Amino acid sequence: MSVDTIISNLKEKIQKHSSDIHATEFGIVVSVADGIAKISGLASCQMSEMLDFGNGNYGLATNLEVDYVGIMILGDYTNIKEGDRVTRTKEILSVPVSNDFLGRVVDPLMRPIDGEGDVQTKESRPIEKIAPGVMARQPVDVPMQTGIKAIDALVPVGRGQRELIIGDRQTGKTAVAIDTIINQKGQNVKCVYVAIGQKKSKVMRIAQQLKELGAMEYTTIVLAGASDPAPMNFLAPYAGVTLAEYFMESGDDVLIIYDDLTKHANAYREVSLLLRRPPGREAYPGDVFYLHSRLLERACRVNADHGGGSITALPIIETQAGDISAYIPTNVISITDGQIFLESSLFNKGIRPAINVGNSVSRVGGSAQIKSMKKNAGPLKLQLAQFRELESFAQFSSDLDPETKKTIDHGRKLVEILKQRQSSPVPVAKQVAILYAVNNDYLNDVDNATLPEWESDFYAFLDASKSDLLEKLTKGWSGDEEKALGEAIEEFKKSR
Amino acid sequence: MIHSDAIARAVYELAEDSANKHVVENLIAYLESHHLMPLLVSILQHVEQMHARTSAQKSLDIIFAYPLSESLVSEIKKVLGAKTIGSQKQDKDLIGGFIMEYNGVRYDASVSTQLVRLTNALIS
Repeated sequence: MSVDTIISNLKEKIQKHSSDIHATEFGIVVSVADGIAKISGLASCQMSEMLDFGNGNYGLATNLEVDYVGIMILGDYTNIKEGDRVTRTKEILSVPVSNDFLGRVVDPLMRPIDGEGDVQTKESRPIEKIAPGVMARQPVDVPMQTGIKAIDALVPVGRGQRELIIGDRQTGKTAVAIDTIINQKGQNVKCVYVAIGQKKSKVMRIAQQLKELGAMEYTTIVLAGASDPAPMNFLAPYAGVTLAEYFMESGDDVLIIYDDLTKHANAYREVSLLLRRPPGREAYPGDVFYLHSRLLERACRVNADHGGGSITALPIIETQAGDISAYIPTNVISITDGQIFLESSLFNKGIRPAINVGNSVSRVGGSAQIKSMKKNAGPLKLQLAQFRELESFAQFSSDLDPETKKTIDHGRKLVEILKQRQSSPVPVAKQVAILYAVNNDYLNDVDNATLPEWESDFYAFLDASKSDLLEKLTKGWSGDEEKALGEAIEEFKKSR
Repeated sequence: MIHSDAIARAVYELAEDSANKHVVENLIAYLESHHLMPLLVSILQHVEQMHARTSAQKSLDIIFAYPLSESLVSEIKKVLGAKTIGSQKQDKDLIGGFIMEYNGVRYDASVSTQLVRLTNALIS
């Protein structure tokens, strides 16, 4: 390019440059405390608009009052003082989105915090978005395999479903969620794990575990730690679902974990009380239901016209002393399409995952189960219910009729079979095989104490010599598959 | 329940209209008749804050590189509807032009800002 061309280009740009007067609306900080600031002025400020403090700090307009704007400060608020100026950006809070966030740990504003450098992005999206409408959706009929036998068999989850994981502290809620992420390897599912109010050490341990198991490649962790201000905890799930929506609209299936929404509700309560919004039940603000319903409605399966992807949400709720009738648990139970209820007593008895089959339910997942699983897991729930009832009666009597004894023995076997170690997801075909074995009395001669060993040997046998049968089991269930599976079990038993 | 800030707002808005000559007397009578006299101190504090805020917003502050002519200042006042001038300050870093602030809006007509914007436009 010649010098003349450069000069003429520059001249043209300068001539076209608008020299209009630049008008900026500003307000003044009247008070600031605990991550919340009150601003006087800013009469035209919009709800959820980003406001600039001028020192690299931003705030989110949350309360629009007659004389003041109440804002959540995003990040460190210790250097903001009374009298500081705040200017409008005229932009609704947005976060960057990109496939490059996979494998990274980021904060709720999608800034990497794993020390592996910045993520270059071209696109940003507002964190608040209306969920897809009815016509954009399609039914949930593709399974989201968790790799956990008790879930895939009894409370199956479909792609696009919202299944709540609920239980007291230390009952294995996070473990269920992480195992589900681990099981997505090779399933073409992208995962987003949103940690809300969690200890950073715990989240870093999870990240390390996922990395070691090769699951971090398709996972993004959005972390708002226990020491982060309440506004960051409030934003984290919305940032996570914004990234998940980006993946979904590209046609991908996404799994998102919110760990946990109890802490999210607590953060929102803190922010609302500081903003002097009227408190309601348990001091939560009146719109705490909407807080979670608008978040979880964004999980869905969209039709081909809208990308054909899905977001499966596994929100987690922590209960106190197993009380599922508290305010936030009942809210989230009513929003979701089912719940996996984990119980301390089962956990302490060594039944892990400690899923209470009676209280757990999946409202839409049944139609997403594969045929072989549906056939073999069908009678399981009833058998377990009968076992629990008879087991409690059997405690009072030593003489049991043979039929009752058989039901109890079978129930005990089922309970043993549904036990599973952490971070060891089982592929669905193997789950079908073991359920078929127990349902058809192939395990009656196996002692319950040696069942875990029998099971792992059986899986190894299937991997080594029956891989074609495993493949067939994922595709359908007919007399041929049933016969072949029966023969395979017999062959394995003879080989021991 | 009636709040002191709501009463203060009403009093302030009434007082702004010069036709209302007995605002204070009427306020006292109202508070007495409704047994709200304990709120008086709080109401006055709110009125004071409101006045400080409004007068800060309603006065025109000007920062200029070189002093502006009387006619230009009065023209600006007329355009913006400003009645009083709050402060006038010289800042040669502006190179030329001026910046003014009125009613929560900052109008930047300085040469330095124009140059920054032009630089950004040329770089991008």
